[in-house]
Amino acid sequence: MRDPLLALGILTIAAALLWLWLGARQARALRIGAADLVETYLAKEAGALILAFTAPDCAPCKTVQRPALDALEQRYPGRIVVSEVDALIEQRLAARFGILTVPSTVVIGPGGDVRAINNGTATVERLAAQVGLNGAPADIGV
Amino acid sequence: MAQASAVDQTAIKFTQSLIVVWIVVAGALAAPWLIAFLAAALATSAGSPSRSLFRLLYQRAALPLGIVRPRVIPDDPAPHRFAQGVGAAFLAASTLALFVGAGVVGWVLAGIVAALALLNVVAGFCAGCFVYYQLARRGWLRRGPQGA
Repeated sequence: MRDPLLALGILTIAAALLWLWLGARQARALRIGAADLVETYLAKEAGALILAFTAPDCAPCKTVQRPALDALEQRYPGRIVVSEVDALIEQRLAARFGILTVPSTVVIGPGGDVRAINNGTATVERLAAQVGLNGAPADIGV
Repeated sequence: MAQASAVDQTAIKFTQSLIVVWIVVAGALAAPWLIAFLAAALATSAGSPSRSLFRLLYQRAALPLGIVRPRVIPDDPAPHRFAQGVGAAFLAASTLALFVGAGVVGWVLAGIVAALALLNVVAGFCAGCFVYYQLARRGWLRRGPQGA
């Protein structure tokens, strides 16, 4: 019983260190802001810009994240702008937000404030909350 | 990438949840044979999905009992099988370590499998996607065709 507990302790410490490192990366990216991207991509009336980082061979980008973004756009038409970014081509942009994997999403407010960075798939509900449009609960099964 | 086939996403989550519970129970009981059994089950699942124990439990128990609802979407099953193969390899190494007396190493390896499965179930973070992206952005993987 001693070995499993020791292993659990090692894994817990490793996970905590990883969590701190990821938190520091994310905090740095959140501080930088993205006013330049808002000017480029975001329409005046839209409330938020979502950068969806993807890659050509990324299956969950197409099967999980894209449907979730489509559902979000359908639920709040004109309120958000979703821009898909190939993380392997736009490596500088991906590095700016500390993107670790695909799919990843970056939620940017109309003032250029980076509201959230989701490494991994993000659900409709999570994105809606980050955008600030969390009205009716989702029942679309995404 | 072929997209003609479909994958039940609920079955994948069910399998990952089962793996997490199984490894936790094995650790709590300090039972290496449970890890060995799981390694074999995952290897079988990766090599021959029709004989998968997880599929059997999902189709014969979880679905009929109404514990879960299927969510079948167009997807390529190959990456999921690859992930199971990687999990089986980790657990085989874990089993080996446990049976030669390197208990901590063995349980750490098993714990990594459980942690990554849990991360996927809870946070939607796919370890395989992470590895793929990190290798591809360093140019260590050949890129697929645009829009594939």
